[in-house]
Amino acid sequence: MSPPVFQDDLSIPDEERLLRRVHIQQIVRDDDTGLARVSSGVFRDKELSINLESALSDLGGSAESCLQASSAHKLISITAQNARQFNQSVCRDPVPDDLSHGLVYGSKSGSVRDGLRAAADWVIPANAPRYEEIEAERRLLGI
Amino acid sequence: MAAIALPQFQPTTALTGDQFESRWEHPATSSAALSKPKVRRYKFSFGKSAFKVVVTEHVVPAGFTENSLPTWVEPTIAAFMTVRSLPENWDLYGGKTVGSDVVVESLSILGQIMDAASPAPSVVPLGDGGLQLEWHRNQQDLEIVFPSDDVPQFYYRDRRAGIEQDGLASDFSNLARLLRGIA
Repeated sequence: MSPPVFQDDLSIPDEERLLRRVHIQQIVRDDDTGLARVSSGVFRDKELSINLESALSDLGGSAESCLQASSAHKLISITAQNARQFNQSVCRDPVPDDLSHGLVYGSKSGSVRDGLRAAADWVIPANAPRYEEIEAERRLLGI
Repeated sequence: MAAIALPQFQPTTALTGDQFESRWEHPATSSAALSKPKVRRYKFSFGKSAFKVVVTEHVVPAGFTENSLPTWVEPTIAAFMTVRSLPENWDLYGGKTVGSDVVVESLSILGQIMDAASPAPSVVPLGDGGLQLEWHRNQQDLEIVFPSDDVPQFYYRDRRAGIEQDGLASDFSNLARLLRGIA
């Protein structure tokens, strides 16, 4: 059986924010700035799970609720336009316990992964933290 | 005496569970070929896991002390053990535990591209049970991806020059050259 192919859902506007959780071990140091940066490995899956912010909001959820109260995760976002610029499809994919779930679908070369990473904005926290803060959090979490 | 050029790991062998033995061999010079190699053993503990690194030196390089080991080795091994310790669903997207086979494979490649002064990589888990090594320095990015079900690949970008390279991580001399440019 051939794998599923997800079509771009044009009812999702370009400005839609697509939220993605990031584990604290997926955050690395940019030695040039001393700031934390998200690894491009976050954007590797062909079927990349995200939450559509508008759908989440319609369901009464929030960006904070995306984190499921996990202290080992942060939250970032890209826009649907960012994804489409890299030839990715954006679609809704609600699942029983996550009705705002969606996918950024498509093959992701190193260049695409790095482009999506560069386009991503921090949501929680609102700005890129110093990498030392991430290290301190890891120590607190024992990881 | 020449500085260490490209040290070579012998194949890294998983002992039991989270124990690994890495062999690190400084390259022999022509004058050293007849002398008896010097073997030193280092042990690292991390949680319930243990690492052994065996260094075989045909020539003791200038500037090396009895207990010296390339500075990247210990933090890198600690980082490997950290990502190995992550539970199933660590990313809240069904992420798999990082496999020991990809750790062994990545150590093997590191041993062929790192030199004594190379900076330690960031070690990042992947959702499929693989891992990624990354360096972001001097306006350059180098990433080596070890997927759980595919051959290693790399991606390099020089942000100033706008130059990109990607492909299979099989040309170790190219990877070593890129790494020296970043360090």
